[in-house]
This record gives sequence, C-alpha cells and structure tokens, in this order.
Amino acid sequence: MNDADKFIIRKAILELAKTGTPRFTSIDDEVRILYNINSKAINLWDFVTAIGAQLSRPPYDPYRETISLDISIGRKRSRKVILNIPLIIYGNIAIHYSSLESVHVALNRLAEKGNVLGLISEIEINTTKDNKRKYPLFKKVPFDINDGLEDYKKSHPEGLMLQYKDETSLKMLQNFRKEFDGPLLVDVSEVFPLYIKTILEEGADGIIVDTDKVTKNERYKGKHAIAVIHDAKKAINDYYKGREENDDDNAILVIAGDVNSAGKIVKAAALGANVVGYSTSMLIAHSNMYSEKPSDVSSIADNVYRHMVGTKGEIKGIPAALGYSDFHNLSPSDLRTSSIDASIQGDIPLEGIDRTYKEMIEQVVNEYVSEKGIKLNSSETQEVVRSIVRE
Amino acid sequence: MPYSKDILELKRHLLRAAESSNSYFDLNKLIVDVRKVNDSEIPYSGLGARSPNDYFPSIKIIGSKLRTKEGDYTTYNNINTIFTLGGRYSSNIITSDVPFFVSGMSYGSLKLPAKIALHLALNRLAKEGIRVIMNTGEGGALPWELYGSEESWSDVSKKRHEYILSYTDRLLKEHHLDSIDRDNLFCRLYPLITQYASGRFWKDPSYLLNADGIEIKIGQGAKIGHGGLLPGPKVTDLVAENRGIPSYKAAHSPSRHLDILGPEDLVAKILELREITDWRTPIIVKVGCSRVYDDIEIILKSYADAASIDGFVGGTGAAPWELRDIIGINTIPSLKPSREAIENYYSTNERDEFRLIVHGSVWDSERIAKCIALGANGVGIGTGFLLSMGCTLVQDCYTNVCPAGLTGSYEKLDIQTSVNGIVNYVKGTLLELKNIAGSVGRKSIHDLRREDLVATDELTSMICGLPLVDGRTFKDPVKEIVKMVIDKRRCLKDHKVNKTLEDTSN
Repeated sequence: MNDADKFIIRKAILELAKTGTPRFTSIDDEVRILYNINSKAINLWDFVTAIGAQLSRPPYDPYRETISLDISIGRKRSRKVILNIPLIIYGNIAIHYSSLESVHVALNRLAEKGNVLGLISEIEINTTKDNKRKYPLFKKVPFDINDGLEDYKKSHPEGLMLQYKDETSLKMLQNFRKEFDGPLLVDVSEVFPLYIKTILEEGADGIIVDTDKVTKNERYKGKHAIAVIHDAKKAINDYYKGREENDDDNAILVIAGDVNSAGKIVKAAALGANVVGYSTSMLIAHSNMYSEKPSDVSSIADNVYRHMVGTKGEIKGIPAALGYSDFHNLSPSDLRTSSIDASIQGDIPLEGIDRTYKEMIEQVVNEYVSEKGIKLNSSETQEVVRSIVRE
Repeated sequence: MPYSKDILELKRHLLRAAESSNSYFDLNKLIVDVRKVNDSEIPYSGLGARSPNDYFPSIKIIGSKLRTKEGDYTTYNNINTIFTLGGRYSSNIITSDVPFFVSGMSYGSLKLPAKIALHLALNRLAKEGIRVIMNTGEGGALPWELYGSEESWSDVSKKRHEYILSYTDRLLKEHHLDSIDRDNLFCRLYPLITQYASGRFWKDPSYLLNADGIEIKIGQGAKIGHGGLLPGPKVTDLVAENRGIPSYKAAHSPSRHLDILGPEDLVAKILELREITDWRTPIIVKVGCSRVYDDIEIILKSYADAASIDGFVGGTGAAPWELRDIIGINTIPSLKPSREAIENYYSTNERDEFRLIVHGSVWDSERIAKCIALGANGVGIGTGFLLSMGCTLVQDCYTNVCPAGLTGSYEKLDIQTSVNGIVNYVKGTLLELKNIAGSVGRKSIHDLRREDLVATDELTSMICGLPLVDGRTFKDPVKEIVKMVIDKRRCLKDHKVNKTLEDTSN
C-alpha cells in the first residue's frame, strides 16, 4: 500500500469497526483524489516489479542452494577480472581520504571472505605490506591527461576507467588499449548515447553510464534511469548485431547513478546492466563525517562491510525467488510495470497483459488501418505508433 | 518501531551525507540501509508492498451506493452473499454467509490475544447467523481451532487429550489469560481452513483431519518465491512447541515444497491429501500473483477445488523488505488472466464448482465487489481484520513490538474491544456489499459483472478490458489519434506532391 493511502484505509476500517454501519464514501473514492495529486511525485522505479516463480516455474532457495552472482570483466585479449558481487563502488561523491580508506579496508575484508567487488577511484590509497589491496581497483583517468600511462600503472590497478568527452578521448582510449592489458571501462555519461559503437570497436571492455548525469542532458530531459539503461543496452546489442557470437567477447554495461538499493540493482540488471556502480558504500563511509564523535577507520569499515553483507543477501534472494540460480540470467522479460511511462521508456510489458504499451498501441493502429482499408508498411506503422506514444 | 539510538544516529548521519553529497538517494529506503549497517542482516518489513498503483481507485461501480437511506440498513436485506467452497472433487462443501474471509495469519506471526479475538468474534458472528471462514496461516493451528467440537475429540487418546489441555493452560497463562472460560474457548462455530505450507509447521494429523478445508500454499503475494518467515525473536517456546521447531531461531520455510516441483507433483500431493481426508475436504491451492495464467491452468488440472491468488500488496508478518516491494504483480491485473485461464479450461471441459479466490489490497466492501465483478468468487482479507482490531500500519509486524498489541506487545490488546471491532467490521462490510449489489440492480453479490464497472484511466481500461467512464474503450481515443496522425501525414504528403507539381510546372 502507498504511504499516502494508509491513513485513509485505516480511518475507513476503524469507522466500520466502531459503528458496524455502512459508510458514505469508500476507500477508493478518497484515494482517487490523492492519486491525482501525487501520482507525478512517485519515482518510476516503484512502478516496475519482477515476476516471481511459483507453480509454472519453481523458485530457488537462497538459504539452501547456491545462487551465483559472479561476473567476469574483460573481453578477448584483456586480463579478466572476476567480481563475486556485481557491484563496483563508484559515485560522484567527494569523500574524505579516511572515508575512502575505510571503504578500502571493508573491501579487503569482503574479498577475504570470497566477496570480491570492485572500486573505481582516482585517489591513491596508501597500502602497506599488511594492508595490501585484495580487490580489483579501476583507476580513474581524467579525460584531460596528456602524459602516458606510466603514472597510472604505478598503483598496479586491475583496470582503468576513462571518461569519454570528445574526439581526444578516443585517441586516449586507443593509446591506453595498446599499453594496458587489463579491462578498460569507459564512462560515456557526458556523450550518451553517442560513440558507444566506436568505443567498443576500439577495444573498451565495458561502458559506464551514470543515469543521474544522463537524465540531466538535454537529450534525456524528462526521462528516467529506466530509459537510459534500456538505450545503453540496446546500443551494446546493436554493436554485437551481425557479429559472430563469442563467449570471450562480452562488453559489460555498468550502470551508476539512480541505482542505490537491492531492488533497483535487480531491476537494472534485468534491464541490461551487468554491473552496478554503487555509491551507497561511499555514502555510508562518508556519513561518519557528520557524527558528533567520528569513528576510526576500522569502525567505519565495519559499517561498510556489514551493509554490503546485507545487500549481498538481498540481491541473492531476489533472483532465487524469480527462479534463477544465476543473477546474470535476469532479463527484461522478468519485469512488469503498472505505468505507461515506464513501459514506453524501458519497453517493459504491462502487468496482467504481458505486452508493452507500444505493442498494445500497434495492435490498435493495425486494427484501425485494417478497418479503414488504409495501407501502411511496417515502418509507417512504427512511425504512427511512435507519434502516438510520443517516444 | 522503536529503533535503537544507534540506528537513529546512523540514519541522521547518512541523511546528511546524502544531502551534502548532492547525490540522489532513495529516502524511503534510508532506514533499510541503516539497518544493514547496524547488523548486516537482510531488513524485514511487515504487511504489504508499497505499490504506487493498485488500480482499485481507477475502477468505479456504476451507480453503486454503500449506504441507502439514513438509519435504514435493511433496504437490500435479501441480497444473496453466500459463498460456497468445495464440491468439485470434495464431498463436503464449506458455506460462508459472506464472500470474504480471514486470510491466513498464523499464531506466532499474530500474538495469542489477537488470535483469540478472531476466534471469539467469528464464533459470535456465527451465533448471529453470519458464518465467516478463517484460515490458520502457516504456523499450525491452536488447540481450540482443531478441537472445537465434541466429535473432534473422539479419536484423541487420553494422553494426547491431557497434553492438549496442558498446552492450552500454558498458552493462556503466559499471556495472562487464565480467566478465559475453557468451554467457551473450545467451541468453534465457523469453518476452518488449515494451511499446508512448505514449512509443514504442524505435527498433529488432526491439523488435516479436523479442518473444514485445506489450503496448499505454494506462495504468497508479499514474498513470492521466497517461502515463509518468522523471525527468531518471535519464535517463543510456545510458538516453537506448536510448530515443532527450535525456539528463538528464525523459521525460514523453504521457498518451494520439496515434493512439489511441477504440475505432476501437485496432482500427486492433492491426491495424497484427498486419500488422507477420504475425499471429504475441499482443497485450495494458493499462489502469489506472477504468471497467473499458467499457474491457474495448472491448478485447474490438479484435482483442486479452488485456486487462490495473492497480489503483491498482500500482507505478511515478515518479508525481506526489498523482495516484498519488487516481486509480484497487483491483484487487479491478475484477475483477467486468471479468469481467461478458467474460461479457456471450461471451453473444453464441463463446468463445475471450481472457485477463484483473491487476496491482496482488498480492505473494504467496494474492493470486494470490484474483485467479484472482475471474476473472483471469494476474497481473502488479512490487513482489514487487523485494522478492525486497531492496527496502526507501522509495518513492524516482524518485531515483538506492535503499537496495537497484535503482532507484539500483546498486553496492549483488549480482547473484548477487538471482538467488537471485528464483528462490526464484518457486519458493516456485509451491509455495504448488499447495498452495492442492490443499488446496481443485482439480487446476489455474485451477479456483479464486468458490465457494472468502468475504468477512469486508459491503463486500467487496457489492463482490465473495461470501458472508460464515457462508455468508450481505451482503443477509441487511440484510434482518433491514429486518424489524426494519418490525416496529417496525408496532408503533408499531398502538400509535397502539390509542391513538386508546382515546381515542375514552373
């Protein structure tokens, strides 16, 4: 139930329980007024759900069976990096060095327990012999560097992350690809959805898209993260269209931004994200700065560690309940929506009818043209559909 | 919930960090993150999912009224509201005087006084001629539910009899309810459905033999594909004894029945239960709403008397918070495919007594009527009954602390007040249902049809196949737009052709 509805529902039932006599207005009459006021304030993510496994597809049991979350990053000749949790700590949060150090300690502890996840960072963490890094680091390279890679190689990162801005970024990517054999991830948020094909052709191992940044761009103004993920996956799929299938050539899609809860991680994965750029761990570490009595690095690391253990439990449980033993088997067909907007933006089937809004409109267009004897070819039909759904 | 000082401090700091970092953060879920930071456990929540659109308010019953004349509630007294269950394969038929019943809420999830209030209220209603079905939920049944009649004791050994009475004494004593009259308690006048869930939290054959109906729970709306869950602190010694499990350890029942992995297994299980109950007892199969068409199709072919579907807003005592909010579909969109599966089945099979029961986000008479008009035969209500006992909807049912004394802090609950609340809720809802059916010209609540409904928006019209308020379907406005778009395209095309002709002639 909606938070806003609760009071109406409770008031109505209490009235019945008190009097035992019929009311004048129903719950729905009163809720209807609220919906008109509030419907636009709700995040589109909330209108998207996944369909669980019941009789026609049995669920897995996360408490008794293995649910795999592993993902390999690196195409063809690149060195592979394996993550046991499909998350890379990444966010545009300016955090204090000690906070980053806490994240580092937490990631090490997690890696020791077989829960390897990545970190994208520009700042170098001073490691000692006892405090060696046990998780993959994707060193962030600013887009305006002129020198070679030598400085970046010093910290022995497992991967690099470049921010793509313009033509010069492409040259940088070409140079880095020659010199660096680890995974190269390219953040295309500034130019999205352009250049993805070119970037993948130049050997990038993955694309990073920050939905917060993209939805602030003119091209995506008014659109939701759902549309960004959908389009990003489509761009990657388009790149592979017509190419020979090769298990060793899987460019990954990393989605950052408005994906900060287990539910959203699962929805983003179903829409096409392979890995999520997760900022909440940084926020948790950073929140210590607001404490009246700031804790030490180890205590903050405990917080980050515990949070991640809980999150891992959540993101293991959901695919199991959908009938998957592997998180990466999630697909758009597992999602349903109760919003026309979400259906249009993410090509998500509407609940109950299992067809997208566009498909429903296409059916009406076909019915109409057939009734009226109008001849439209398929591209004309699509054009009419697009103009109706205002895509 | 009274969160600890540590959790509240963490929450405050995280909120400030989120605000200052200027990054987007889901404030609704802030407490989920903080709880994970605190104990690394998966955060639970109670009641139903947060659904921004459950479609109910977007459906109207044409010309219906909840109330007719001031002070006169007998205008439509003769409207039939009886709901029957069974008779498709079972020899017994359960009869209820109302088309709604108490959904499965187990002892353990609910505290004893709340369970007793429900028991006494349904007995009082039955004495007044209103029989309401009660479902035990997953956690076994209470002694007076199973042994609520003289005949139910007939095959019980002396030793077992003594144990049952001793367990009852301990239950009542622990809850300071010693003064309750045992004769009054050990009397059940309403039909009881026991739940056969994956946890099999019962150890007494009478759980199946003394029940009026059996519900095989494959899943529930709040945690589809996850299995039942009772957090450790709620598994007290007496709850553990009732369920046959260790005390104070979380009871995670498997996400699926270990012996029901597919349609054939379901048939085998139902036949097994049929043999045990000598084909007397009606059997229901309950699923959470997801692939409802396929699931109902399987249930129809499985020797079950009824299918029960639970929308994802359906409540629970405890479910992983994130899982509850992400998995499943709403009740209303599940009704059309369910009905289609049933109609398709009966297009080649002779029609029989199969029933469709729905649960999830149904709280009052109008919602019950809408479900029936859309094809349900009966409706299960859980949260509505809790609300009638004073539930405050804070959703902390997974803890031992409940502001209303229903799922925790049981000392707060006044049984007599709760009984009155439940009785009034049922009576008021029944009167409203009669008024709704009567005011739209129906003689029985089950005569309500889709034709009595309209949708107030395009999406609801599309999903339910209902006309819009102005009588048109969602297709009509779309066709108008198609016409406009095509006409505009033609104009542009003609304009281009004319322009080309003009250019050529010039």
